[in-house]
Amino acid sequence: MNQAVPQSADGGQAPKAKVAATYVPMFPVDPQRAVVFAVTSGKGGVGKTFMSANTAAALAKRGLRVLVLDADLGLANLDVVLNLFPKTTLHDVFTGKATLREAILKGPGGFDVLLAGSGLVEYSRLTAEVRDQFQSVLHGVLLDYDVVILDTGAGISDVVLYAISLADEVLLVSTPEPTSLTDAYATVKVLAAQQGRRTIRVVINQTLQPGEGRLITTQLQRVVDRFVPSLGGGPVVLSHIGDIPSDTLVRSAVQKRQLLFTSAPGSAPGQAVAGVAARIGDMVQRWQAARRQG
Amino acid sequence: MLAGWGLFFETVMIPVENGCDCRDLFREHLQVQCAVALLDHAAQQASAVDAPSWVVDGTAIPPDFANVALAALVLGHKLFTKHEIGVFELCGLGMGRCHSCGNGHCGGANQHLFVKSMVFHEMVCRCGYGADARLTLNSLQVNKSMSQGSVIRLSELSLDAALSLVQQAGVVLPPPSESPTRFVQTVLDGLCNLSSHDALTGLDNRRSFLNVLERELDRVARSGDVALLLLVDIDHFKKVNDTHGHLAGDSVLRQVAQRLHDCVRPMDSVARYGGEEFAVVLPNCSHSYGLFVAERVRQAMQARPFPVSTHLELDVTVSVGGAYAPQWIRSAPAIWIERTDRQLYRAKHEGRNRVCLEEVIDTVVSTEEKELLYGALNLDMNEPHAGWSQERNG
Repeated sequence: MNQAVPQSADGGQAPKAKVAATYVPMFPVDPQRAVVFAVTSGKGGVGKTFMSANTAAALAKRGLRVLVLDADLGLANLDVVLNLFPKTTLHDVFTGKATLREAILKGPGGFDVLLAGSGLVEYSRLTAEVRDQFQSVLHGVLLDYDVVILDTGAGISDVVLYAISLADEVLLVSTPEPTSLTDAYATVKVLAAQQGRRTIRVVINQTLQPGEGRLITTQLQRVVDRFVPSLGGGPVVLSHIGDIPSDTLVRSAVQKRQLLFTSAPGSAPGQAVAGVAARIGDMVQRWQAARRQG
Repeated sequence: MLAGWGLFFETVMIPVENGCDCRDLFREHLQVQCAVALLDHAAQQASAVDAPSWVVDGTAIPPDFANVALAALVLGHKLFTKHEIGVFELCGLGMGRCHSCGNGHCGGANQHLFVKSMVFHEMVCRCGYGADARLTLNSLQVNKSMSQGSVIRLSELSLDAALSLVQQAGVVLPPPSESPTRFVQTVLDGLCNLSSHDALTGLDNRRSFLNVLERELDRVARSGDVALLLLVDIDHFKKVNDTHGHLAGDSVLRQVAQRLHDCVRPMDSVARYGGEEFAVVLPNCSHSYGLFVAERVRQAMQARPFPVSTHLELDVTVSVGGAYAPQWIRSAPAIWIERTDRQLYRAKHEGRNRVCLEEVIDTVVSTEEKELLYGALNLDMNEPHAGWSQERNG
């Protein structure tokens, strides 16, 4: 095993690493506020929304108050995954047609969702207006939840980068496919260069054999160590927090618009999601403990 | 008698809780029986001005003194309660004249203001606070929640050091007798100017530079603009000092500052960051333009020698390090400086008289990276894949 890849269960990695990083949290440090996770991938269709929704359900089952915020402002599809037909969306909040409370829906897995609405071309580019609205929305929900998951869009547009910049933690989803890995790697590059991210959590989706995800993360780390200087120097650490094994159950759950974690919690991918959620739960505790200590 | 009044005037300025009757205040804390008696008397009289003289504690008090005392009480009352108009009308003060300096005060449409102005003029003159009533009044209003009275006595300030500093800097001070406020303001402005600029070069000093940096980081976090920080260090500056003396060194510093200032835009901030180190903050400086600007700075120094005396010209070069602010992200000045400093160190290390900017990471993934990325994983390399580019959004 590559020494540079820390064990996912290592203690206190996140808050400590953040202190020295260029990244300064956008929101006031309040021990009560939610820990914000951004789920991102670079390439589309690798299971970002699947991860966001199912991890949220698993976290909710662990007793955490979770909100999934559709940060894919231009091409949201969280509603499709969750089989929701929202009357009010983030778009209505932005335009003042609805309040934040009205737009927050109960998801099927025991967590709340804030949907963006699809096809909003005007939000696919980050303007100061979109940015401020997005930030104030996040501000408005931070104290009501333990975890806020930002389900970002594919690619590395400025909207995606901005959403990630608001997050305490970045969850990078990739499949073992070369195209997905390349885009995931490029995402790491950009986040390290532009935002000074030092720690990025990695989930490898659709793995074919045990240990594959860790191997891939190790390899990603090697390339990162060699080619990616972080903004301000210092190592960029990819922390592997789980694999989701490839399974036909996943496809059928997506097609039926069901949450795998609730429809097949005992399946291999269902248990893998629970494992990822357990690690995220630990991170949340560490963040909250770190904030309490100031 | 006058000493007693002095005490009275000073004590009027002690603030109390809102809603407290100032007469209680005087009774409890100040033992100014005369003032209390005056106020009580005024409450019984339709017009205090008509009273020829009052006897308090066996001492006859002339009516104009009484007016002052009354108005002072009114004002004291005003500061702590808000019933000043009623009490004021009771007192019935009209036109008046300052008994110390003889200046007349006209009530005009705003009698309320007039009284405050007149009374305070009287008070400050009598108490030796100087002639500017407004200063006293304003500072009182601003500081009414403070535990101490806020009248500043110019003669009690030790201004010698401050005055010699600002006068040395060429600041022309207005006569203090004309307006103490303007006088103090000018001294303060002069000191602020001195404490934000470098004495030798006239550039912003480190303190104001850090201010600029912080503001720029905030702006960049808001706007997503590109901003560049350059640190410019004179090469082998110690040699100049050691060989040609410190006067020559100073002359070089001044000229470097001037050339630096001349080769950036007016919106850019140039500062002397350390001994022979300068800093330039360039807002809205694109990645493609940054190196060009940094090079221009370097070449501006190299272009022609620096005349330090009639017989001596020195060739001076600089090393330049630069780093961009992280866009959309709220960062800290210390981190930005540290990153830039690292580039400056690199420029020094690589032989000086050169520019090193922090690499803006190319987000295109090279073939070499790709091979290392999944070549070792024995993945299917024949599968077609589109090259990643920043424009590709999902």
